[in-house]
Amino acid sequence: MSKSEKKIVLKSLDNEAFEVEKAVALQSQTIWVMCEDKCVGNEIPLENVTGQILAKVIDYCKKHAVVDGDGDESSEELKNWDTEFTKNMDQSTLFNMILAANYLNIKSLLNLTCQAVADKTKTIDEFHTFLNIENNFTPEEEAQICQENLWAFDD
Amino acid sequence: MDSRRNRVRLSSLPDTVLVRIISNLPFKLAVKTSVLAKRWKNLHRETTNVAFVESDFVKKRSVSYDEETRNKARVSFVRFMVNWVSKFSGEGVQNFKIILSKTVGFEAEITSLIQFAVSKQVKNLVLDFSDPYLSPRKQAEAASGASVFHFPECVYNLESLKLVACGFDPSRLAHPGSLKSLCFDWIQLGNITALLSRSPLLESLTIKNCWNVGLEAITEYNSRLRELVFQNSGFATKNSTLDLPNIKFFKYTGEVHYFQFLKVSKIMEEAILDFGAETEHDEAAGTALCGLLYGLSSVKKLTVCPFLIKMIKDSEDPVQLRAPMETRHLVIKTNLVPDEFIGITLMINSCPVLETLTFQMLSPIPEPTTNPGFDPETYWTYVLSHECLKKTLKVVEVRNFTGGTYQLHILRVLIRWGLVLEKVDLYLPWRLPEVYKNMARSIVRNLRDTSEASSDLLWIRWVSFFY
Repeated sequence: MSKSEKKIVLKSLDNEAFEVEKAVALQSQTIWVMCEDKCVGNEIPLENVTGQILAKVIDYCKKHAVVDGDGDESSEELKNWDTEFTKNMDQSTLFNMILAANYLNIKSLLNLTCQAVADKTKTIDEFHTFLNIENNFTPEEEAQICQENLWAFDD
Repeated sequence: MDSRRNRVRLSSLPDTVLVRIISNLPFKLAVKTSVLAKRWKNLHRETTNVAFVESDFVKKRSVSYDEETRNKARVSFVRFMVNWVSKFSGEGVQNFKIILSKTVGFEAEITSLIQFAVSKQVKNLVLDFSDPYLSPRKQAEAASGASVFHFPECVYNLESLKLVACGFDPSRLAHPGSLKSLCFDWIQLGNITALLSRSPLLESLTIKNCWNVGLEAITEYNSRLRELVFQNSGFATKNSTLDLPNIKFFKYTGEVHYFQFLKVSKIMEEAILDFGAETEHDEAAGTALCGLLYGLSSVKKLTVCPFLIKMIKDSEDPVQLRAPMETRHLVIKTNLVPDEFIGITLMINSCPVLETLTFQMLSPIPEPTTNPGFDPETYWTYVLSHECLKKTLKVVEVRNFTGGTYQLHILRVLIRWGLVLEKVDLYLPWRLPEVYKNMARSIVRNLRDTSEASSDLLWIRWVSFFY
């Protein structure tokens, strides 16, 4: 991959186009592979990500592209930026970010968003509600699992 | 509708992502995710964040804390750990923690658990075998007899290691090259330099309650070290040389041990020096401590203790330290007895750019009967002409303010001569009877009268709800 300052265009599911510098976009392994393959032109269609989410992902990548390679002072600042970035995200945005980070294969963003889910849920009930999981156990099955790890459920 | 869409789409996440979410949860909560739904039943067995904590596992109400009951509980806890590890289905472990109050009789199991963690490329390892129910003295006895665990040869991925009351021979740890953080508590550390000299990436070192610490020097080899903490440890060496140009945080509490900084760090954030109840000293102590302060002279926030301020006045030059400190915030822990006055003046005089001055009042001690060589009643009435009072000192705080005579003397002189002083905060001791608050009120009024001459913008207040 040449390190030219060339820009590429990312196109969202709802046909919104974002022109970004290559260095920013290539933090996504998925886009990297697409560029390597040369199967696409200058415009990369991302069929799984909406414009609203893609804009946020690009914000993240821009921030992290700028700071990479700098000293420790900025890494502290970057951490704070990351915290602010996910702090006020609602549940649906956060999940869509996880899905996008997973699809685009941006490891650090995936870590950050998974961490954010854990930070927002302090009990199993909160976790259950937040992730909106449908319980498909019978009461007997559930009781048996609790019994196996009684120490964890006994509080 | 929104939530429905999420549900459908979240289920499209691969297990690896769900495991990643689980791995960010505390271990106990991660185990609980097994009841969420069938798909989640075994996902927690892949968590990269494993923490076996005896007190989580042993139900408090069923334990009467006699040794036999506790031991039974320990046996089932150890069995649980071994069993859990045998069912682990993940690829690797990032964090692995065992907190267990006694290891006697479980040596083989513990060794196999350590081996498990290492074989899963553990990055952060915590082994805490201290007993919260033991007094410090009993704990020291127990720790000195603790079984020594042999670490597997290869710990290539280990970045942080915390060992508490866990028999360990630092020199035996092979390939510690990736270590960034080390914390030892209740451990004999005769061979510590052997470990340091093979850990070039080390950034943080904490040594607490350790004995026989054979630390002759930390050399330039460990120049990445940012944080160095010693707490109540005994040294096998007479002094320690530190060549740490990038140190940011230095904390020392315990009996006097002499450190010599070979280079002055330019970016020091905070230093805390507390020699506690230390009283004995020889003539060299003051000079050695002044040398230590010289090594720390770039520090932004500095905390000193009564022993230090008493000692430095006996050093070569009792008016000023060898070089001016760049300290912006000076915290003086003090009993404010006359014996400490000269040292306090000297410290303030040595910090020409001081912005905040905190007096942390300690519980009163009987005033020594020795003659300080001056009249303590008039000591604080002379003109203070320190650089910082004219130009930079903006905030004065007294923690545990009790309104003692000398506290008021110092406050008056600081308010009178602090030309740029903006704020004086007096923090009353915790849970003070109402009558003392009235006293504080009248003291504050009184001090405000003192200040009239110097500045209209000075804000003096007392605070009682702190802590």
